[in-house]
This record gives sequence, structure tokens and C-alpha cells, in this order.
Amino acid sequence: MRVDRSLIGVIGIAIVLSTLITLFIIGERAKEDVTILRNEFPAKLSAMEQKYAFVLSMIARKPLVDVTVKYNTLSRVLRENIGFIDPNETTGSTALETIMNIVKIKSLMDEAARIGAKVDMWNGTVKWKNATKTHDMDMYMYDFTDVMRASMPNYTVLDTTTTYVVWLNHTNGSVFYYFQGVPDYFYSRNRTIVDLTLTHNEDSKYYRAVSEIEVEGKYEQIMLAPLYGTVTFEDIKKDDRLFIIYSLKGTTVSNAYGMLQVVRVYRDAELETLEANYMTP
Amino acid sequence: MGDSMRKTAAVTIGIMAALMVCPVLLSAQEEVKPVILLYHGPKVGDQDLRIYGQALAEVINADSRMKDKAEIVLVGDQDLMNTLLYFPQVKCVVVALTTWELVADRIVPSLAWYFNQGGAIVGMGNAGNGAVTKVLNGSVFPLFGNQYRMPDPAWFCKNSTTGELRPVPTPVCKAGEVRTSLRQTIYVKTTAHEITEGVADQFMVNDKRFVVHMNTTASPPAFLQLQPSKGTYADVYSDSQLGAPLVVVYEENGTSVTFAGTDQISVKPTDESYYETGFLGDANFKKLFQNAVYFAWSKEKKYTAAMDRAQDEFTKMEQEEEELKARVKESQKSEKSSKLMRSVLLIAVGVVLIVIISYFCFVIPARQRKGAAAQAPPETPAQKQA
Repeated sequence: MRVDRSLIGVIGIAIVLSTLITLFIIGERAKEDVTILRNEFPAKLSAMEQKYAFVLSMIARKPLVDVTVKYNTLSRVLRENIGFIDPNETTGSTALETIMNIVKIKSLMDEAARIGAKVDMWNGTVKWKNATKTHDMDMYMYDFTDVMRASMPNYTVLDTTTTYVVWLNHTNGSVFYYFQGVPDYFYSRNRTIVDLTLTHNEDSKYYRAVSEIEVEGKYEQIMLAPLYGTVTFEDIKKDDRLFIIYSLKGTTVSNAYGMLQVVRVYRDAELETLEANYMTP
Repeated sequence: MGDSMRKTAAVTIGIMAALMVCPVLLSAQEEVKPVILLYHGPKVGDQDLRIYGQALAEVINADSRMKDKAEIVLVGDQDLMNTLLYFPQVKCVVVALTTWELVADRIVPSLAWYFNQGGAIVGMGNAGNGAVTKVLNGSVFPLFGNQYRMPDPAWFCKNSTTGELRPVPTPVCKAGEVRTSLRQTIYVKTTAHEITEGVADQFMVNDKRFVVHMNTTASPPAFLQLQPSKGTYADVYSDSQLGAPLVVVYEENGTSVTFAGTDQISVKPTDESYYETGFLGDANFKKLFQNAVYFAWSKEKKYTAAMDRAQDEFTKMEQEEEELKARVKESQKSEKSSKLMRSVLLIAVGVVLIVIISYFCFVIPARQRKGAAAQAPPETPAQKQA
């Protein structure tokens, strides 16, 4: 059977045009610049004779100058120990009023404002699951790390309370959970973290607790890992894979009332995503 | 309770938009009022020690030399105190550790750091107790206290009208006086110093305990005078009975004034006026405390340097952020132009392909048809008719 050439031509031109349009659409499509592929953390964290692993893996969807990941580790403080300015009015008429009734947050906000320091603040809704149902919580985060970095010895910052998180009950605005903690992968990293690996595609950097270093030169000491739980990957190409993996020595963990790990991913200096990982005792 | 929690993707975008950064940018350092951090300790049961802090703050504010010079920030939590101590605007620290406060581990390293940076500290109560302030006792609060000392009871004649107490060697009083036995700490000036100006050479304070270094190996245990191995040390007031230091001025990297006493805090205060009727109500003690704060404040060497350094650091952070943004902008610009190039190339390839397809599928067949038509023999009249 002889096929008419003009038919082939029409089909050919249609294919070329549709391919062009598809390529343009793909090129222009709005999507996440960095996608978190895995965010693993122990749902239950308590002092046990075992290792606890934390894994964060990401993929870059486009070339980027810089991808920065910030970790904060916080402990839950019981309601009676929160410290309210007015203990009789713990729920204000607005969220801000409720939060500014917490002595620590109010004091630090006042002092930061006095010297004109930048305070990283974040708020949004998070999901909180219990055995039967999922609840919405309004999360407010106040991070004074940069304020403290300006006047504090580097390693001291790691053990200083600089970050505060308040979960407000979505329905009535009361304080549901309150956390405070440090800007690092975990508390007292030299005591708790066994190993930490930072990987950009095939390029990895290995850090170990001093007690775990068997071969000198192969690994670096954990204290030399990036400070303030802030890891920066530079010169990112499309489809680059980024990993942050570390493990804790279970016996060193102290988690009386629950812990919260906040992971913030910035791409090109803008916050891309925030993960709030709650770990029960 | 739930085992995991994470934010929903849908909410993320809204949340990111809500990322707020306080754009407070004070450039003029002179606008910043220096801070006196006053630690008064946590709430103990229903006992709110904030009223102790307020009473001390009132005494400081009543000093005309300090009026409107500083912002006094009261702190009742060691963790918060630890964080606040690193703020550059802190020019002076008053640490009033009550007798309930037997652990001060959270603030010991930060106080040591603050002092070594040239900071000024006034310590009271358990500040001079080695079991509480550990490494600070000797290096910041040089009282080397290892025990509490309770003054022996003494006879006083109390004026029935004014309430004034007059120490007497025997319980014999004049008319209009009532004899009474009390434990009072008697301060005796041992060294003339800036902080003793305007304060009586000897005065009594209604304060029943003070920390002291006792040689416990001796029998019976005896007071032992210790001094730091370096720095300038001045024992300005001593206890009348033992001769143990009650107020010590110490200058090394930083400046400190340490009070051994103020044990009245161990009694439950009834209201705000409690301290004013106690040791803070004593004119001599009040003046001594004011002098101590003013002396420490004026000798402080950290504030200006810390403020300058913080300002530099903030500028540096801002510059780094700006540089990153500039790099991002540059990269986005080059990405845009390469994208444009890609688009142009894509369009060009598309056009070429369409031209080729058109040539082979439309032009050539059309030409062939035309050529074939030209080569065909002309129609005969019969064919035309048919």
C-alpha cells in the first residue's frame, strides 16, 4: 500500500510541533527546587542500648547556587515549667499575645530588638497524629541563633538555648506543647553523635565521635562538622542528590517528655521547606 | 500519643510566605541602653522571688548615679539567664542566689565567660558558696565559702519610740528602751575603698547567716582567710566576730563585688515591702549595695567592645547574605539567558525540521506531480470527448 507523502508530512510536522510545545511546557513547569525524598527519624527516642539513625535525602530539581539545611533539636517543657508572665492569662486573644506571655520568648525578643538583631521567626500549621485522629496545630518558631552567634564563642552556641517552638491548639489557641532547644543536629554532639555523613552526589565527608575514629585521617572529629547544625551544599546541578545521615548513641539520649527536631531547607537563601519531627519518649 | 508529625505540603507554600524576619536595624549604638541583668532565682513553691529582684532593682534605681542609665532586666530562670548573659548590651550583672538555690550549673560557665570578657558582677547570698558556684568561687566570687556562719546572739536595747537598736555589752537598758537579744551581722570596715564611701565604718544588718571559709580540719573548725592567686583583691567589710570577709572587691579580667550575707531571703517574704524593712531597709547596707553596683558598672570593660563586635558580626552576616543573593541573582540571570538560547535553538531546530519535512513531503511530491504532468502526451479529441 502506498502512503501519501503529504500525510506523512502532516504527521511529521504535528510531531515536531507537539514535541516543541511539550519541551517548552516542561521547561516552564513550576515545581519544588529541592525535593525531600526521605526524612527518617526515630518516632520513639529513649535511652536504649541501640543506635538511632536520622536520614535526610534530597534531590535538586534545577541548578542552584546554594542549598542550606538547618537543624534544631528541642525538648518539650511541661506546662508548669514554661513560665508565663501572667499565669492567669495563659491564652491571649491572639496567638502573639499568648506567645509573648511566655517569659523566655518575650525577654529574648525584647533584648534582640534592643540591639536591632534579626530574629528568624516562622509560623504555620502542622499535623499532629495521636492514636485515633490527626489534629491541626499552629506552630510558632523563634530562632535566636544568629543573634547569639554575634557575641558568643562558636562552640558555646551549640549548648545554649536559642530556639523556641510553641504549638498552639488550632481550635482554642491555648498552648498545646512548648519546646526549647539548641541549634544543632543533636544535644552535646561530642557525647551523643556516633557518626555523621554529608554527601553531595559521590562526594562524602565523614565525621565520627572521637571514640569511634579507628583510622586517623579517614574521618574527621564530630566537633569539626559544620556548626549550628547548618550544612551548606554549593554549586548544585540539576538532579544532584544530597544526603545528611547521622546516628546517635542510644545510651546517651535523654528524652523525658518528648523531643522535636526541626529541619529547615533553604535554597538560594530562601526557605524551601520545613519538617517538624516529633519524637516521643 | 502520636508518633510522627510533619507539615503538609499544601501548607508549606503559605507558611514560607509567612516566614518573617524582624527587619529591625538599629545602626546607632548610642541608642541602645545598657542592661543590668538581675538574677533573683526561680519561684519556690508559692514563693515568688521576683519581689526580691524588684526590691534590689528599686535600690539600684534609687541611686542618682544610675538613674535612667540602664535597663534592669529581672531573670528568674537559669537557662534564660545563661542565654541573656551572652547579649552584648549586658553591662553589669547582679546574681542574687538564694539559700534555696543549691545548683547553679547552668549559669556557672556563662558567668565565668562574662567575667573573663571584662564583665562586671555583683554576687550575693550563695554566690560565695563554693558548693553552688563551684569554679566561680575563687575566680569570680573570691569568698571560698564552704560553710554558713550564724552570728552569735547579742544584746540590744530597742528604743520604744523609734525602734532603733543599740548594741550593749550587758542586758541593761535606759528608760524608754526595751532589751532584746538578736542575731545581727555586724559589718566592720577593714579597707577604705570607693564602695565604702558614704557608708559607716561599722553597722549592723538584720541578716542571720553568711558564707565563710572554715578550716574544717582544725579542731574546732576555724575561719581561714583565703585569697585568689592573681588579680586585685580587697576585703572591705568583715564580720565583727570572726573577722571573715563580708564584702570583697575583686578585679582581674573582670570586676566583681561579692557579698557574703543577705541570708534574710531564707525567710518567706510576705509582700514587696518585706525586703525594705529587712537588710535593704538599712541605710548603710543600701548605700554599700548601690556603691557596689555603681563601682562594678563603671569598671566594666566589656560593653563597648562587645557592642562593636556584635555590630560588625551583624554587618558581616548581612554582607554574606547579600553576597549570596547577588550570586543567586547572577546565576538566575545566566540561567535565563541560557534558557533563552535553548528556546531559540529549539525553535530553530523545529523550523528546520518542519522545512525538511515540508520539502520532502510536500515540495518534492508537488514537483514530481508537476513534472509528471508536463511529460504526459497531450489529450486526443476523443479522450477529451470521453
